[in-house]
Amino acid sequence: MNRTYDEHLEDGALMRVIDEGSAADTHLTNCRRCAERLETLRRRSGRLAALLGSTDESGRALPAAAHRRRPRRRSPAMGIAAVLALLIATAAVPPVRALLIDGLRRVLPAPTVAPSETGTEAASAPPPDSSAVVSFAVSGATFQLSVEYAQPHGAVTIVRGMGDLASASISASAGRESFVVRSDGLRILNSAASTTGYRITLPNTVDEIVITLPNRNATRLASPITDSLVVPLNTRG
Amino acid sequence: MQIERLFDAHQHALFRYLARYTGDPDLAEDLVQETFVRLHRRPPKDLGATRAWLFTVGTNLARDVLRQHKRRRGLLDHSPGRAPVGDGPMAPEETAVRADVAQRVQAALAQLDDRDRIMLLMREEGFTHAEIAREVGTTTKSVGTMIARALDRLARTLPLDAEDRP
Repeated sequence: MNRTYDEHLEDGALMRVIDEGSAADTHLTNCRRCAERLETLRRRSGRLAALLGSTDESGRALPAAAHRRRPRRRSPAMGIAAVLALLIATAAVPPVRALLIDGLRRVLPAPTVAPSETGTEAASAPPPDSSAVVSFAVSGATFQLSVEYAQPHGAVTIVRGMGDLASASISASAGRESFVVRSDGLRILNSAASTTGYRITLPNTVDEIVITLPNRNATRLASPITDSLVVPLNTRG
Repeated sequence: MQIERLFDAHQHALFRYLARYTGDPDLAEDLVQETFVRLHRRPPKDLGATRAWLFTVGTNLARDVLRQHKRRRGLLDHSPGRAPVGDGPMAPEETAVRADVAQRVQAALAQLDDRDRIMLLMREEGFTHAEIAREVGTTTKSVGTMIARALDRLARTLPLDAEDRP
């Protein structure tokens, strides 16, 4: 360890010893300078890991309901600057159900209705034929609905509810559909092979609906719906 | 493709990485969601590299947001130290200490350039030098050297050489 060398191991080689278990060069066992440098990098690396670990928040990943408890900074450029991001699809292994299911498991007694801010306010009841429902708040008077793909069959049925929360459900899903709740509305993540229907219940606070379907321009419905609105999804072409 | 399985496997690490990278846990949540939405819509051809793909997409999304809003400094300076949601309430002293540590760490990371920060944080998530090299556009051999230098820079502002715990 007391020998001196004109050339020493590069930092890159030392980091590979630390990170990837590269075989320690015999140089390391004889060169104090390189051994000390290795120890310094190892110590700094370990200390950084400890510091980062002490601030780790990954255990809270996607805590949907927690969003309602505190104001959040929005990121408008993000397509999903969603506040109350709740995403549940059907119980039949939907493709993106897991996007928020983990967070929901943490905060909800049952994965059917999201809690209100007070925790006491009931959301609209799911329709009897739904296999899953997601409840959410609509931040403004305009509700934006977009659908990912045209479907050979199926429609979106929009009805007016009595509560303060909106809800959406998937009927007889084959497991290919789910929702992404956005701060201004809802996106239906379906597939071109989907044939299911969707039911959306909106609160009275919504007085305008903007619907964007595949292959169609956005449709703006300024008049509040009185009964129900059925939007077919076979819009191919 | 079993997105649910992928989500379960990678969401925590991706959130942790993005929260550290942006300094904003709330934004990181959005980014994680959007990343998995993109995975759902347009999955990578090589499913074996999904983890790296997720981090690449998440990083790019984060970069876009930070760039567009030109608020990286604000994010990194003002958002650290939040108590983790989902855990039980911490004692006030512990919360304060944790917040202070988080703030110092985020401030130190903010001093690094984008590439160094990505390399260090991806390394923390267990990526190999080769994977990190692909992400930041350099050679595998260079990654170790760059990480070492980044650690040196961090040691000027964080107690990485101290014996006691932070």
